[in-house]
Amino acid sequence: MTNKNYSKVIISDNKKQHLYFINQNMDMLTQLKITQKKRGEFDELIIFIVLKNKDKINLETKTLHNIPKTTAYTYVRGVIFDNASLNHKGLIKIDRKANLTDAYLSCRFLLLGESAQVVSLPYLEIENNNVKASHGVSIGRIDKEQLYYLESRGLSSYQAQKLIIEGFFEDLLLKINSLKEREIMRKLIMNSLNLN
Amino acid sequence: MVTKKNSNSKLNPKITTGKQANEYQFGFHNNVKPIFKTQKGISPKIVNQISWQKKEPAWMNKFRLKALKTFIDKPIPLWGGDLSQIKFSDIYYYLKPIKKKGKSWNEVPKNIKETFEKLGIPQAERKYLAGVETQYDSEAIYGSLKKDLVKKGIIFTNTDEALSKYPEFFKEYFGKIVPPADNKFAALNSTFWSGGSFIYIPKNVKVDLPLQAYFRINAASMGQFERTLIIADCGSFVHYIEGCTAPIYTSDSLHSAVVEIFVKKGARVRYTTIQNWSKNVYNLVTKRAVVDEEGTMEWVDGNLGSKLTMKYPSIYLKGRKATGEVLSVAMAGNNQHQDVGAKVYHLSPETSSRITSKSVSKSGGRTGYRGLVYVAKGAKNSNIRVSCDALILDGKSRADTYPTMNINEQDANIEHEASVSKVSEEQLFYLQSRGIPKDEAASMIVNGFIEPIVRELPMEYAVELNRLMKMEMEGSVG
Repeated sequence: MTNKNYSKVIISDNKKQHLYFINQNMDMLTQLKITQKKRGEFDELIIFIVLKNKDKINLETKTLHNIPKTTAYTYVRGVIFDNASLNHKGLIKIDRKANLTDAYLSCRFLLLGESAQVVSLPYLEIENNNVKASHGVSIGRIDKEQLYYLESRGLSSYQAQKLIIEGFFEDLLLKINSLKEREIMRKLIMNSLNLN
Repeated sequence: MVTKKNSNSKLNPKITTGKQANEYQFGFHNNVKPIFKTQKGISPKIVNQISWQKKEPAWMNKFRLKALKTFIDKPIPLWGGDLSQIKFSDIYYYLKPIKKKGKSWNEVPKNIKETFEKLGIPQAERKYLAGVETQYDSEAIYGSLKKDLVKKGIIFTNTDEALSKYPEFFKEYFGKIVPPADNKFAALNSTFWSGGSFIYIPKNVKVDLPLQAYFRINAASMGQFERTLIIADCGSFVHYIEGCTAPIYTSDSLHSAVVEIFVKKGARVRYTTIQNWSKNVYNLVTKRAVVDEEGTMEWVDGNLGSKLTMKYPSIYLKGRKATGEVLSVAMAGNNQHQDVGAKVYHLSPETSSRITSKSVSKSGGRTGYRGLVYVAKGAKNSNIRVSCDALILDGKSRADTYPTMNINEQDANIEHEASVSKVSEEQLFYLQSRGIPKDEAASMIVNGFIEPIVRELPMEYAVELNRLMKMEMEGSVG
């Protein structure tokens, strides 16, 4: 009934992309940690999450920078239905020696259930001034105006909602450099949404 | 004991240079002999002595003794800053500097008056402050409140006096938002509290001018545990300002205040603090407000001084359409740790809040934002916006961000962003190319960085904060 969680690492253009699709119920803590070892390394952590029913997920992402000139971006997009709950802790840690680090964490969550819950803890620990480090989190529901717009064009409420959710994931799907992986990921997401 | 000639006044701090800049601006120490002083340390006997000295009702003594037990039972918090250096047994918990409260300025003893002169209070009062209630060590010694405020039914007095004069308020409100069992330091304050301000604003009364209190610790190893209680009745408005400067000591001092604010239906309260404790003070404060329907609570919080500050002003949005705002600015220099932030609890529909935090760390200082946004199930259409920016001025300093967002309602909109950056070379270059020296350029950029908060302050405070920032910035870039 449910998809298995999926993960893959793809390397292209000096960039390493770590892809994850999470929709399986996991009680244990999932830790995704990136520790860079070489100057100039560029990692992207791309995480898609679809949670339903009573799914409960504890997710921890960490990017640890202890050498100069590394880059790591983390993107998390999650849709949480029903009574599901997500607990996400996202740490960016930059050591004293890690000059010219560029680190970013972006999290967006859609809550689509009466008892859906998100706990988000985006942490920054920065010990160097010559760096770029930031994060952004937004949590909310589907924009009513968008929904109204689509419905006024003849879509049913269900279709409109589905379209908006697909769009919500789409901007991150486009960041995946491999076309093949992008399609795999898109299918996984669509399948998990169709169960509704 | 450090004795240092002061600069002219609080409003016009002398801009010092070089080595002097590292010394504490207001670090003078007056020799005031307390009339009554408890023994060092913690024991029920000392609590009873305090109650006896203050001639308190029996229930307050009971309250203190119960809190003492809670304090002893609670473990010291392991998160936040390093609290292991505080020696609770080595602190005087209560001092009574003079016997009676001065009714007019002339009755205030000369050496105490000198301290206030140095802080510039008389000028401030003459200029535009409505009332001055100053705390000197543990007891408020001078209070003045303009007659028209009294006529409107406003009560603005020190908390000890209020306890004997208005016991009905205390039964209903005291310790209700911050119960002694809330945390170890709230329990400590509940045990030894002394002084602080009590404010009651009647229905639909708007206080146009800010009410103000100055706090000062003046004896070595003296804890200051003031307790502030503000009740803004329906439709009222008040702006309360609390400013702190403290002299330098040889041993570490502890400041642990509790502030409780009740914002009734449609009322608005703004609470402004500028904290510039000397750099050996532990500043561990619990500040909390409960907001009813359509009420507004605003915390404006400036943290410049102290060795370690742990302070997270909280707002409980209890009524429909209640709003809350926290503006926080922190600066940490050498050996300083500012662990500050904000907490907002959305408990009703259509509540909104906004948190803006700016921090600057330099010369090995450490700043941290620690925040909580909680949206309860059923708090529909809530709106939250959090932004925290940190500026790190050198490679020795550190900035942390530890926000928590706990969202249990799908019909809410939460946005959070944080960034850490440095003074950019481009901005510096631009200003320098216009003939501005590097030091000055850097301090201009820092002042620009904190401007969104400074502009919310009353004019004289804004000027003072800008000057303090400029002074702190001397020689820190280059």
